[in-house]
Amino acid sequence: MDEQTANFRRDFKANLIDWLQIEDKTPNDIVDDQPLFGEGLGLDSLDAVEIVIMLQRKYNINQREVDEKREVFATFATLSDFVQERSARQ
Amino acid sequence: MFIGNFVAYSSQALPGFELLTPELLKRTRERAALRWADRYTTLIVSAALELLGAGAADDGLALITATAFGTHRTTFSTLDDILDFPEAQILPTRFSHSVHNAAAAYVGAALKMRGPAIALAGFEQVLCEALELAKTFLYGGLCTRAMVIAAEEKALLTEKAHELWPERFAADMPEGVVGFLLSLSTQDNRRGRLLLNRSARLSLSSPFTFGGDAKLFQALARADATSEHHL
Amino acid sequence: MNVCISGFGAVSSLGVGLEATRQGLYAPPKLPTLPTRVDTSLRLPVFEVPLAGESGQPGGFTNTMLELALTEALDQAGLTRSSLAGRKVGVCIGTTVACQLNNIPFYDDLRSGRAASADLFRRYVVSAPAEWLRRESKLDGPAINVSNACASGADAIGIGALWLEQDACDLVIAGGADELNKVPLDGFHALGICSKQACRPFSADRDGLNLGEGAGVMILERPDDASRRGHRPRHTLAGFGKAADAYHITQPHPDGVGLEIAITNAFRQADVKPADIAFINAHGTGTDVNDRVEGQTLARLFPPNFAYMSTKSLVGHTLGAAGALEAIFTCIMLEQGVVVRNHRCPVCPPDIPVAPLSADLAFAGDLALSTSLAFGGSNTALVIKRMS
Repeated sequence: MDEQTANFRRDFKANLIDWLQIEDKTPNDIVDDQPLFGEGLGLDSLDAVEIVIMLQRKYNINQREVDEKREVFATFATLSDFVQERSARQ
Repeated sequence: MFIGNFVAYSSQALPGFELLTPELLKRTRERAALRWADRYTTLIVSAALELLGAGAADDGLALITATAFGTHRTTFSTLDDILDFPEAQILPTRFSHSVHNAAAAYVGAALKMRGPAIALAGFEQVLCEALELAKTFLYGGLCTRAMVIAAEEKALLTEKAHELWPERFAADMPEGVVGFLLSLSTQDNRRGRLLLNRSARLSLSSPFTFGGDAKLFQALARADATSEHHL
Repeated sequence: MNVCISGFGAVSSLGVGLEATRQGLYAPPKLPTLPTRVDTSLRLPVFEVPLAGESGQPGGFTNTMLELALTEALDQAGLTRSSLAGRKVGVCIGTTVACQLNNIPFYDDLRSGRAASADLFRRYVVSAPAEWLRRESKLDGPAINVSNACASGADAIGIGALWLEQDACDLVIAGGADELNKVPLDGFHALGICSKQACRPFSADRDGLNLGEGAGVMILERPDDASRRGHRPRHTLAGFGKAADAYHITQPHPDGVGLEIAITNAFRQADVKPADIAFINAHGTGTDVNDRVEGQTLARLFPPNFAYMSTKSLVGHTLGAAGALEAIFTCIMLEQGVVVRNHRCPVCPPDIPVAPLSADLAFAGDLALSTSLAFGGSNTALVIKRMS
């Protein structure tokens, strides 16, 4: 993993924890290839819609782009990489 | 009806009320996994946890919540979103919590309560009506016990209420929550009988007196199984 | 349970009054359109009531609709407003929007430290529907505003029936009302559950709900009291079941646990079995989750090929009014002896075991079930019987 990706993932973890109000976790607690929903990080459907709003407000990624690529929500890494790639395009 | 348990918390030192502390709310949030829950919900869940104590809920336990101003802080947060952000970007979880029955949903999930759950709202005698409704559910066989919880949260709207309507709302209204655990069975009696009389209805000058006069809550705080409380 | 439904009145996108309602129920459905009364940039079709009025005013459009529905309900029941004086009359009204102060200009003034409208605030305090009705009509008796999301209207009717059974009052005005409002529109959209097209309850291609608005009011009475004054009601409420999922703040329990308990309890009160039910007026919002959970739960509880449908494809999701309007639509269908088909559902998905009605169905029975599944997992079941 290059340094840019490592940095992005670390910041994205912090943003996710802050946005989703996960008070009992630090960025180190989030494993990159962990599933986001159900097992793994244990997020639920409310978190899913909140993440979509976070992507809009903080990363300027609109809902349609997210709707077309639902598979990016599989793990933390897939989501982070998607956001990093879209952010780089802007 | 018999009172199995009674709790009352307030942010001000009111007779008959325990002090509502940040520690109590923090404890509630940890016990009940209230990551997204707002303060209004936390007040109500706090009362529910204290009422049930070490006991367990069963399908015969009903929940009735009552409020006048309700989830006004969260409703206004949703309006902040609508005013400050594009309409398509308002926070969905905030909105979900701006409905009055969200708190009842959290109580149900936290305590595994599948009995009837109803949220009431109103400015006239909402706590009295909630207690009457508990009696109605108990006599109607919809439940074997009933939790009645009334809460008011302090935030911008309640802080401005006196300025907007001084004759109706006192300045510096406290926030707080009261809860009753009620039953028709003498076996559940710990704090005495609660006798409701519709024709002797007390008038409500402010929702922060929770539908009764202070003497009721002082008496409840000291009550035992032999006590009788008239409302 | 045996409480008379002595009369009812309805306001919805089908129109104002029962004549428009009956016609609209059985006619080809009108499609939802973009809102005209709500100031929004979201292009979400809704089912508007064909009445002029302003959105978001406390004591405004919601109470206007409620008043219209009540006037009609009293008329149907053979009662006048003045005849209520001196009688113990209970009022139980379900609503979601009316119990919130969500007027945006008012809040903007408040938060900015400008002088916010004291008049608007006072109107909000005095306009909670049940309290407002009691005061306006000078009634003496219990008054409750039920703010239980989508089940509110049905809960209000059930509570009213219990009041009568326990002699808390002699007559009940019960129902629900909600107006289209920017806040729930934006909120449900943010939750990702609004459709950009006309909603398609139980359909394989369903993708969300359409909001609607309206008011439904019933006059409830004990059978002895009705017959004493020579009134012959055409329906009774035979069962009211209520139970919670204890699961999640927005998602229903995947196994429909609370719904099953509510239906079972309602059936026990009514002393009926699933096979006795001629049709079910389901909650059927058009969302992925509700329709799957409800469809699967009903299929589990009822005999094969039972008849069910949702009227939300005709009037949208009217929130606090829904449970009441749907109870009224159920009464109408019982009277007519014909259940309306479940519109816009050409294909039922494999995870909904039994397809809803694809054509209007004439039936012989006199019992129907109306279900409401509220946000937060509060479930209500009403069993309604047609009197012969």
